[in-house]
Amino acid sequence: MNDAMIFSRLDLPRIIAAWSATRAVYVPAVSGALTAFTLFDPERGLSLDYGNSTLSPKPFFFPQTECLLRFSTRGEDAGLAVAEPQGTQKRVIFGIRPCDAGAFSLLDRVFCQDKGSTDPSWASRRARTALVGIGCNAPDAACFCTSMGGGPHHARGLDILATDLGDEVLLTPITDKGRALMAEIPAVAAATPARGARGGTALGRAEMLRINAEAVMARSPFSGLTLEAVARRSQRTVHALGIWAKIAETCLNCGACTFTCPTCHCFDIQDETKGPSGRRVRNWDTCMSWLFTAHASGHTPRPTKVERVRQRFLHKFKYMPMNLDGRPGCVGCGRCVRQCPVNIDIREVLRAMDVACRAAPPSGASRDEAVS
Amino acid sequence: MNPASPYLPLPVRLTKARFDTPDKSLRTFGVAFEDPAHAASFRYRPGQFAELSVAGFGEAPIGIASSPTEGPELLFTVSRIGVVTSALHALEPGDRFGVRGPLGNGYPLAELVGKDIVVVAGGYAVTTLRSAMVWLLDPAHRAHYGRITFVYGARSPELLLYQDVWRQWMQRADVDCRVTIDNACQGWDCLVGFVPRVLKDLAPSPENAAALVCGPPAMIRFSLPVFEDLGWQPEQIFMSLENRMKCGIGLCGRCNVGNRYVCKDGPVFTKAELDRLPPEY
Repeated sequence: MNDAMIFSRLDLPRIIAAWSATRAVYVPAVSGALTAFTLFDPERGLSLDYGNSTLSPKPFFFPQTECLLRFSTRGEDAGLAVAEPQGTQKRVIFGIRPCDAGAFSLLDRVFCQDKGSTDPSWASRRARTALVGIGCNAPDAACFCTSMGGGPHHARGLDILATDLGDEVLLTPITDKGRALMAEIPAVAAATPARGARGGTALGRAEMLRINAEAVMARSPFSGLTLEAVARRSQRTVHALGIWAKIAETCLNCGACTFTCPTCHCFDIQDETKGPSGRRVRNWDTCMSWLFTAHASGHTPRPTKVERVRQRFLHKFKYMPMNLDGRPGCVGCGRCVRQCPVNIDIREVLRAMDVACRAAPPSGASRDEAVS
Repeated sequence: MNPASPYLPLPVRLTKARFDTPDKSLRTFGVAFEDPAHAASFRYRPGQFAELSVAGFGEAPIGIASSPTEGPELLFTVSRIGVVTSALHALEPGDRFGVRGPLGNGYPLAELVGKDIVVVAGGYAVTTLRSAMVWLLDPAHRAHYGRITFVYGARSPELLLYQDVWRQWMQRADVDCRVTIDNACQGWDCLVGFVPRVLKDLAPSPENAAALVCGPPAMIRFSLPVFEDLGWQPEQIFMSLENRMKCGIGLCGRCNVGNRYVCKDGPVFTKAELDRLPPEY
């Protein structure tokens, strides 16, 4: 099945059940105010009526805590470390949103940079997981993917893009992995190729849904945000802008933003021992924490929350674009906007950066190029 | 780097250890790989560092003080300041621990062929500069460089590391070795005065030259203007930074200065590079 196909919505559980025969398939589940991905349960059925998962699905590839290696503390082998084996379970995440899929394609470039800087567990989990995303027909008020190079129906990072047409679902394979997954769909499902008169109508409906979703986002007071002016200024200039103290003023350094963010990937490594055995674990960390950069001597390059808040936004909007061919380190999922307890809105920060960069004297501009 | 996982340390044994200072805050370790294949695969350059790993305590990034010209054993000097470094100080010869690396870029010595080299070191930051000096003075390399000058200072004689090697360098005609302490004291036979002062008296010419500088912030702060007054360009001055690190391979996100990671893009940067980065280190 190389082509886009249309299925009855009622066929979806059967399709997912077929994939479940050889894989773990995760689907969105709404429970009260929370939405999370859970293992598909035929008894429970499938709901497509959700915005996005409350927390980002990054734990599928980058668990909050993860064993890197094990060692014993006693005997002949004391101190001899053994790498934790990678899992082999194949997985499908069904219903992931395009913003989150885009975040993972971005993080591929962080976790798999080159031979010496490749994270084996990220690479393993990515290789054995297929992402079936559903385009957003009704973006949330906090969403701003269109300002971050994405879109509510974008396919970057997805293996299959699904479009919810109401009674029907359009599945468009994007990658070979997605085409292989399409090929496993049982013949019992009443599929129609998205060609011909009826198929053409479906494609037209999908296109209308995309245009509509983008139009909704264009009406947001934050539409049209751009990194152009930030890109034109040197990192030293953006770092020295006078806006940071005010932006950081209300921040509690609680780390809710980094916790929920699909692109935040900073981690800590700690040893744990219990009796004769121990392990080295990798845990999520946050640049909001003082300890994050504190040297053993007590010196820290980012001593107050002003430096720490600035680091978070510069990492996403200046450093990552510099290192990753202009791609921002943010996908506009809106989770930090929704979760921040003091209502720091990353879109307002970006706007303040843009305004201040436009007003900044041109000296020092475009000197960044010489750095790399 | 271990092919199984970049996080997996290679097993090593402590071969010898000595406390360098009377307060026992600095300890120098000889380190041998358990597996000769690991020793052969650990190909490093002066200026690189490694994560020293003590199971149950964690890892600490430490500059490699030995030179690859000295054979398969590694040398590290460790300041006892935190959990991991205290655990390292508690090791006895024969004990096993781990080494992960080599990490970082190192000094670009191959690119500096044909130049005069001025090495400026302060306190125990001399470690990777010891490595660079031993490498430069090795018979296989010495002829490829012009004048070599070594300026090294510490507060007092007992805080000067590697006395055995720099005393030998003082006997050599092909290196100008100037070692200084802050205040005069009995029995001291070398220079007295701060490193920037010694550097000023020395007045190294920037003509076809490069400087490798590593030391405490005060030494850096007062040495850079001396170079500047002598006409040195920021591109000629190589400095080694340190920051808190975990992964050491540019993933974990904490050691950045602007868009550059000290662990992977550094720790050695030219002053020209640092002038373009946010002053956050």
